[in-house]
Amino acid sequence: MTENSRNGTGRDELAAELEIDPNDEQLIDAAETLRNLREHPPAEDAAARHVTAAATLAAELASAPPRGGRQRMTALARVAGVAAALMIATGGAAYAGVLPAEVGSAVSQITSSLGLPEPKVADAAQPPAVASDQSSDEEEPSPTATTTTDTTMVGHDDSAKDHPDRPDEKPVVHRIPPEVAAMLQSVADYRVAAREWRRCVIGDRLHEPEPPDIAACGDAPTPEAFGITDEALAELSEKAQMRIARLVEPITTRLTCIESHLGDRQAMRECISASNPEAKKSDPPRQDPDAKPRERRHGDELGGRDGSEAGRDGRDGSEAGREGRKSEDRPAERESPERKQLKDGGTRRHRR
Amino acid sequence: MHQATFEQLLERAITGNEFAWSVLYDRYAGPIRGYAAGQGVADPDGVVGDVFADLARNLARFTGDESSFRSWLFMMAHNRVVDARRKLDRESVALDVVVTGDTEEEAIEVLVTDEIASLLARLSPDQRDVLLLRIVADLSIAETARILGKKENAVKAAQRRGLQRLRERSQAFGVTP
Repeated sequence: MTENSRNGTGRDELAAELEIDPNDEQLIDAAETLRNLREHPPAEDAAARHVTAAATLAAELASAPPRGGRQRMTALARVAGVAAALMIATGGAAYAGVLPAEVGSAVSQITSSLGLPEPKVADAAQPPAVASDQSSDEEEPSPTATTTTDTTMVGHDDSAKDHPDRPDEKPVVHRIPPEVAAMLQSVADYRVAAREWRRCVIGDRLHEPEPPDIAACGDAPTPEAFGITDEALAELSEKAQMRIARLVEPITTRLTCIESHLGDRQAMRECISASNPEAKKSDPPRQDPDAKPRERRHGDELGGRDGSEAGRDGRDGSEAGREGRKSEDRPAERESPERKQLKDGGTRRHRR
Repeated sequence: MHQATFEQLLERAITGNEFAWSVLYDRYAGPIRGYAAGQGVADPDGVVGDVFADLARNLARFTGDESSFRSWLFMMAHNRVVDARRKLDRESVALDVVVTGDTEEEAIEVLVTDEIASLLARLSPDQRDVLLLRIVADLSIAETARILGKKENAVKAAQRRGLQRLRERSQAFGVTP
């Protein structure tokens, strides 16, 4: 499918790709309506969380030692700490199911020890997590927010001691800074309150013809009311501050715009748009200020392997992936150089 | 200023570069969310988060160009959707509405999503898989066949039957979506 059809302008291309009669206007309209689905990206607050989570996990995994044994366990413990914090921030188990089983189990223990709901883990039948005590390992602590050196033990599982068939396994000790965990919980609470307030003042005009009673909604929640204060942030590491600010800022901005322009939807929309210029759909592809020219990456050419683990052993955490669909026996791509060049533009979808 | 190539983008993402992740997200989150929503997943945003977490875990092992990257990404998305289907065992398609903070926009959104749901409700699960991967994910017949574990001819047949269902629907209602 061409870039033109992706951008919603290529009805002919869409018809050709789907082998539809180009004169069959109604059918092409129907296909175009389905194509609208891809133009609804996640809400900004969800997007900020997802990006932060992915970047954090990637950084953690990139810093994990390639060797096995105890060092791997230490690395897993670090990842588990990060994942647990992210789950707390999202108020749920969004990430447990996609982590290695041992990490997922460790996350479960961490959240449980914090008194949080049991997260979903991809495969509950997996053995319990076993990770070495980070303090007894020679590795440097992770530089990320949730694994600073100022840590407190929040989960401890001595189950390995009871299993003589696993003599090499060490007691599970996961570390997560309690102040970071508490702050992330505050962010989650703030987010829920913000969403409820937003729905209250905006109302549901489709189903409720009467305008909402805005006065009954009370004041917009503020981060400070949830303990997200400059003073509290100052107690966290610099990286934790940055990540929490990134979680909080889009929520606060939106609430401020809504509160300032209640009754004037156009102004409200412009305010939200102006306060978040990066979210504008018409932006050209952005440039990384840190970008530097570099050598071509090894193995860039198609080599018959797409790198997916999803179709083989489910290591992406999906149950579907455990069914053993092969993904590495892919033939050479059929894509033309022209299509590839068009794709490389990296469009941002227009909403309408 | 230097414009990063796709391969440079991936290389930075592997190291946890947040800017690189935001670019990847901008490019793919919408189609992934649309695919999940079209499949009737209750929490399409969650699927996007899961897929990007999958991506963070496995990106270092990926080799290939942007086309194969897209195919790989939607394979992960499809696996997530299959998981969600099993958990919910849902037959009906229920699309959620993106909360934008703008009531008028949300109202229009409801109408559009109702229309899409009406279209998708006409399709069998196989036809829905194929048409969403072809139209929303922009994948080729071959890529779609790989993800679904089907032969290309089967994908073409499902596409043909699915489009026929859409045509019947358009003729029955006599409206233009």
